[in-house]
Amino acid sequence: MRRVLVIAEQAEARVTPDLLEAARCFAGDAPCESFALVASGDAAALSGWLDTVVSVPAPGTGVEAIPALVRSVAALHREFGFACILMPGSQWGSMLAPRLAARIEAALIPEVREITRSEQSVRFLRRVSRNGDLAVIETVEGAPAVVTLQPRVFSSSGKPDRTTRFLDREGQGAGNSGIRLLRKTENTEQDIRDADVLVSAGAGVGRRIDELKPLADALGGQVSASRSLVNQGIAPRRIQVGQSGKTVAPRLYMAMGIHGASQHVAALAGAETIICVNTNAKAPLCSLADMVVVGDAVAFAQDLLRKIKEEQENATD
Amino acid sequence: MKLVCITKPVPDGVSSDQEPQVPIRDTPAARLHPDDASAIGFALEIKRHRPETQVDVLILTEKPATALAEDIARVGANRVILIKNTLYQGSDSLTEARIIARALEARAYDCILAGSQTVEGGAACLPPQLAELLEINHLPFIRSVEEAAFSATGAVVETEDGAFVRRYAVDFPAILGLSERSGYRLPYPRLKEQRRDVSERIVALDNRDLKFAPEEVGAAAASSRTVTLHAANRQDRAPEIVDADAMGVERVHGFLKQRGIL
Ligand SMILES: Cc1cc2nc3c(=O)[nH]c(=O)nc-3n(C[C@H](O)[C@H](O)[C@H](O)COP(=O)(O)OP(=O)(O)OC[C@H]3O[C@@H](n4cnc5c(N)ncnc54)[C@H](O)[C@@H]3O)c2cc1C
Ligand SMILES: Nc1ncnc2c1ncn2[C@@H]1O[C@H](COP(=O)(O)O)[C@@H](O)[C@H]1O
Repeated sequence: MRRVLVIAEQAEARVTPDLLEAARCFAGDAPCESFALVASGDAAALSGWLDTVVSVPAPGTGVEAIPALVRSVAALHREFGFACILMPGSQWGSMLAPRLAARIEAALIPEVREITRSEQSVRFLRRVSRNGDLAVIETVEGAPAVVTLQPRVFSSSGKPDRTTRFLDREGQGAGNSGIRLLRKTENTEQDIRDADVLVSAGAGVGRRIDELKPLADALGGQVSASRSLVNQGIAPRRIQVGQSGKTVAPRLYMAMGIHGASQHVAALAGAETIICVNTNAKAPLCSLADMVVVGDAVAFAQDLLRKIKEEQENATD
Repeated sequence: MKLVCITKPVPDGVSSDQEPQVPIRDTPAARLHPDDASAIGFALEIKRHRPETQVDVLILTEKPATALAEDIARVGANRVILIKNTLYQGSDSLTEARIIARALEARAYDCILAGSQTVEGGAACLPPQLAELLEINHLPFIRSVEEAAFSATGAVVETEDGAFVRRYAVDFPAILGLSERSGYRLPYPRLKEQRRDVSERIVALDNRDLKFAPEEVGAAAASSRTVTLHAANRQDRAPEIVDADAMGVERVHGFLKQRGIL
């Protein structure tokens, strides 16, 4: 029987629903045994979600523990022969996956956003360029796949309806890994190039740019700006998007009162989804958008934020 | 101290936030990956303060890269090693890592400097794979290195992700992945250097040196293949147009949920 393994981010100590969903997509309708590796964290919490949960002791939860974790996973792979090993596409996952693929001679497939199984094969969809070009990837006969998931694209639909067996395995950890964390501080200088979501202000927003911040926060993103606002001294240059600013690649770019001059658009090729809010539906950026909202940008931002808050409150009631 | 920079030439025209790092000559593979330019810039900065430092730059490419290699030699690299063979074409990152690992077998190094990200913006794959093959540590997304503490036995560096800045001590040998945000830049060659003959510092390696069997490298050795490619074409999209009223809010909210953003 085919086997799939999920590995959760050790620092978060839980298997997230998107990993479970991706494992389910990999299995399709065919029989498939699902495994999770828990190196730190609560194995019992996974009861019902997977067929087998394997606990191994780990020498740490951060990057210093990755080489030891790779050895543990490789040992488990020798025992069970996984067809696919899934992990999150975080920085941690993107350091673990290539090392693991090199160790067990697997196909490395990063930043996957869709997995489809047919009778003959399984296919992985991933973005391969800043322009949003997508590729469908298959592994060659017999090669296991080591996959990282693009964050937040798989959403869970399953139920904890399995009988889970719990196993313990020895750790393959070395004492001193050669990397020591000396200090960890919050990153206060957020960079718009790291943002998943950008709520971006143009001349149509002007001095009211601060009023976009609550919406950006609610979407888990940051505020950026066009050069027009930087030139006027309203926004700092480090948040300028464009040819003379920064090239960005967020999942969502909300252009609020931005016209779409070529120097601005040049830096948006990597944006996956664009929503334009503009009083003028004929502004050039609108023709590149997935959705255009015609009207005042700040007022719309406030209305949308209110809607998001309402829904969240209803959900927690 | 011996530093090896592994460097990938990228086709010109790839956008970056910095100006081109290397004086562009009329060659097709004219530019350095911006992270790699930072890695070499850092190595040369160490060498500037400690002239006994040996800086080798290793490039695996099928494209013409001699002019680029000469430019790198002119700004101070001791040697530029160009690995080239048609057999290697179409190799995946693991195979490339194996090729580079073999080229490194005969060389001593304390630290390998690489980039952190692919030019497409994802996390680099080759450096961690090379680290696994060499059984050494790998630490990417480095935004600063404590130059005074940098020695043949280890380094103190700061990495960043969206949420945290982390300070690490790393023992060598290790692979450090620099980010262009570290601020290190490749210097420009001085005027009198520009025409200097540096050919004796360019080392060419091919499969006669590295001795891979044909089935071990190239597309034949890849463990995955691309079935189809969908080119993104924004121009063809017809956007949905809504008004900024309650219905518009409803639509956008639904859209964000459907895309998994909410
Ligand atoms: C060499 C060079 C480099 C440049 N680099 C950059 C760069 O890096 N980044 C950059 O952004 N620009 C850059 N520019 C400038 C660029 O050409 C534009 O001038 C600039 O992008 C315009 O900014 P904007 O769209 O915010 O303003 P405008 O062009 O003034 O557009 C304002 C938009 O807001 C809309 N609007 C007005 N009121 C409202 C409202 N209440 N609600 C909603 N919408 C409203 C309008 O319909 C209009 O579409 C550069 C120019 C040059 C020459
Ligand atoms: N062909 C290559 N030759 C030398 N170094 C490379 C090569 N490919 C990748 N690298 C190194 O790996 C990093 C990430 O590359 P990649 O994963 O290919 O985007 C680069 O910044 C280089 O340091």
